Amino acid sequence: MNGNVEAIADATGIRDFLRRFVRTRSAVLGFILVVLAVATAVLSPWITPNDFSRTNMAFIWEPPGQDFVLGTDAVGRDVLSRLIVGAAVSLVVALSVLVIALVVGTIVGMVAAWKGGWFDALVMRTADVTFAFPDLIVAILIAAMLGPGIPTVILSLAVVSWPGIARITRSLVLSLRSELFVDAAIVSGTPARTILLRHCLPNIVPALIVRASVGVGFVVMAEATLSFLGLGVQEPLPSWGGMIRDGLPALRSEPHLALAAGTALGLTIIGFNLLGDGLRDLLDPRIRER
Amino acid sequence: MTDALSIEHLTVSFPGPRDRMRVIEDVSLSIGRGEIVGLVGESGSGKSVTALAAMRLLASTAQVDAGVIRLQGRDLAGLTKKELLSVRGAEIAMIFQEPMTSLNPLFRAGFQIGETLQAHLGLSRRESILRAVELMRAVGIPDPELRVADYPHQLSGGMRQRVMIAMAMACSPKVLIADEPTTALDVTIQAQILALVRRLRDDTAMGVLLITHDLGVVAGMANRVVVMYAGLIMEEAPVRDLFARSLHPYTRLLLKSIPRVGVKTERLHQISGTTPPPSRFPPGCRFHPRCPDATDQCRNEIPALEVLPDGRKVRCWRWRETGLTSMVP
Amino acid sequence: MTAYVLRRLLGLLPVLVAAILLTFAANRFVPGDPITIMLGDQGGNVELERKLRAEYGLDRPVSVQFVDYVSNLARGDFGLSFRYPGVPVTQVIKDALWISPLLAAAALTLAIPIGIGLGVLAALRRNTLADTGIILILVAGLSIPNFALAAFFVWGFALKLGWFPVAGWTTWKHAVLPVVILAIPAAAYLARLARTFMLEVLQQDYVRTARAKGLSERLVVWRHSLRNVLVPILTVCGLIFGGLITGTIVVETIFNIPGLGRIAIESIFARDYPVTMAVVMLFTLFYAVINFAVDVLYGLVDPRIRVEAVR
Repeated sequence: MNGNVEAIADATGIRDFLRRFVRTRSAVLGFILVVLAVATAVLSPWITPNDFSRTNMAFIWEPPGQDFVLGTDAVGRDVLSRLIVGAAVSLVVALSVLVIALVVGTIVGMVAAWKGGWFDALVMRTADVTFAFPDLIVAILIAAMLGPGIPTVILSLAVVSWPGIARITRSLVLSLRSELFVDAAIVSGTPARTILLRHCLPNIVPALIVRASVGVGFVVMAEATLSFLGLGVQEPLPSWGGMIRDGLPALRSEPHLALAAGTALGLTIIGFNLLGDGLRDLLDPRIRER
Repeated sequence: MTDALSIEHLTVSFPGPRDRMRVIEDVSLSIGRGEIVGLVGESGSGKSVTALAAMRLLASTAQVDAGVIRLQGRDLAGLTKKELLSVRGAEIAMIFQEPMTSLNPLFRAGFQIGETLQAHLGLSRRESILRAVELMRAVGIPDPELRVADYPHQLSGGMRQRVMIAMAMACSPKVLIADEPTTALDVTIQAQILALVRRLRDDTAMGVLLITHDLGVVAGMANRVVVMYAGLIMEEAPVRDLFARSLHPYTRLLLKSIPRVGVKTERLHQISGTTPPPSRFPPGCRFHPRCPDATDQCRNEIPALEVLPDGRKVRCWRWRETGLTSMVP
Repeated sequence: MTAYVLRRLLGLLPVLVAAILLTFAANRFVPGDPITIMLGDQGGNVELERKLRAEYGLDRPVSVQFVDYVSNLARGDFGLSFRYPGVPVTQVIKDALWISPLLAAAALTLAIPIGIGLGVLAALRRNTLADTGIILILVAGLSIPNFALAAFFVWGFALKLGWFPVAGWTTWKHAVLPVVILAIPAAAYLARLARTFMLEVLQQDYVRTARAKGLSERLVVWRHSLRNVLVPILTVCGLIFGGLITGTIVVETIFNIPGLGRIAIESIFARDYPVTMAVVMLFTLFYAVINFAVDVLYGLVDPRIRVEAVR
């Protein structure tokens, strides 16, 4: 129907986007949760009440109380401080993974779409094979080879994440390629790099934002899982996953460690997922038509 | 004799960007027994909404603000849900534009036809399949005993539309609504399907509401033609009269855009502009932005639908001055 | 149909090849010399060293080792464990082999009806309170990692309420919490998809046709809509089962269940690389085979693939 074209044209623009965003309560909730988590992480050097790594055998397994708001763990460390720093650790890891995956995936995807040929085929096959392996297995493989630690986590999660981004980038660039303005640029002799960066990239960014926002939740969860298994963040750096692992054996009498970390983890990932879903619903034109 | 289908002053609204907007307004048309009425208009004119409203198939967000729909004199609004279900598909049936997507890809053709029979006539599964074979034969599908077990993706477009028609005819409806039945088909198949509909009408004296954007289709089929634009009826006349002398500028422009064999034309005539969406209906006569004869009155006041002594209807301020020349050489 | 099956089978190949290559490479390029580690304080014992090296085939050139590796794999021989010198890997994992798939299968049977049921319900009650409520529950189910869920569930149901035992593996009761925790994210994922698919299907022309035929709403939903939802959902089941298999890694670690997952983690910390690689290979194999089976099932269920379009 012709009418819909105007109706959709009505709907673009930042102001309208914000209006619709605010109307989606779940997206707003997600936003709030994410802001809380990020703020905690960013402000961590200043808001931690105690040194997160200071052990104190006189105060092991203190229940939540005056001195230690959320209690202490098996070696007397302050749970709240560890929780706060854990936020920073998780988010830094997630950010690193995201940046690497985005940069690598976008470049590879663009080149694959532009050059085509054997490179394209190679990239697609690699992506297919990577998808065929369950994510955790890849992480375990890499952890087995490199040993546990933050670099391992970042590397394995980046390895698992970049193919998805490459795929999206590739298909978007391919479809953009047949657009008129790209043809015009090619004909006027603009070098490929410029076309890709100046013409294609801006059009790809919304889709990448959506993909990234949906993917952050997954990365945070994966890092937490690896840390829980002991393959990720190592002592003395705190990680919510690791804290849950530490807290499980004491669940009967001292549940505060595991439950606090579990709540923080759950809320943060819920926040990222709600936000990601909200962004996707708002930015994806296909869904908007409904 | 009561009309097979009678739509009286129908107004339907949908939720819009700000408040509700009226998609069709004060639409009245009637189909007599054995009559084929053509409902013509561009996409977005509200023709499909009218048809879906007649079948009570509109989305739940749609609201019938006013109007009555009578099937053989019975007010459809007064029916209970159960009564409505027994009427729909049995006494009034509808076929749609896209035969591929209108058939469920997971079920065989014969089964989908038989479903209607099972639901309305209480036939057993076996009986319904046997009857489906007969129906497929009646709509001109060759080797129906074999085709009855086919899945929709195994059939050609024309075959699928015939299956749709067989499904619609299964319970001998009093009214058949055909919403752009041939638009998605090849030209040669189009003619066959239209001929089939005509023949079925001849055999059963059912009323047919033929919805199309193509006046050419209407020329060979309809007894009467109703022209819609932007949710309003703009003109209604017996088919020959409409073609010989149309009173509404929109109809005339529609007629001009039919390519004609044997008449030399430099280029295909197009009507400039597009149909306004319901959220953006212009003030005054809704056609005025595209009308070559528009005056200030047209721009400010909506003309009412005038009923002429010979039964023709037209909604135009200036039809007396502008509605003259014959379009058929 | 046969062409379809063959194509899917062919798709398995690169994955298997990649798995074999990767696990072999990982085995070889591992930090430290496994023999030295195994020898421990018997480091000076050249005799023993030579014997061990021969036993493990590590005294031969890499290419020969690779060929051996592949041919052994074909016979189901995963080599010898590092952690338990001289013990074949197959022995180490033998008893655990059936536990993980069993847990995953149980979780799947739980997740499918609940997930699809919730998703379809939400779609049918779109934009009502029920729909919003269900969606939020689903987000929570997908977002909270299984070990966090475990912490809450064990604390709540096992410790506070005492309905279930905390850990161990002797009675059926021990299986309830692990299976439920495994099932929750799977059910949430399925429900989301089912909701999306159902909403799409309800918009389809053929649903409009079914209504136009005067069929009852019940028939329209159950016969015409649901089946069209189940078909694409099926394809996702393979993915989900794969996720469940890896989920057992975490769950077994938490509940101390002697399955493959727990062995995988233990072997990593024990530097028992042959065992790790064997488990990795097995998991990958499960995943690939399940996906293949699901693809074939899909081909059987969708007539558009099963029956060639003649015209």
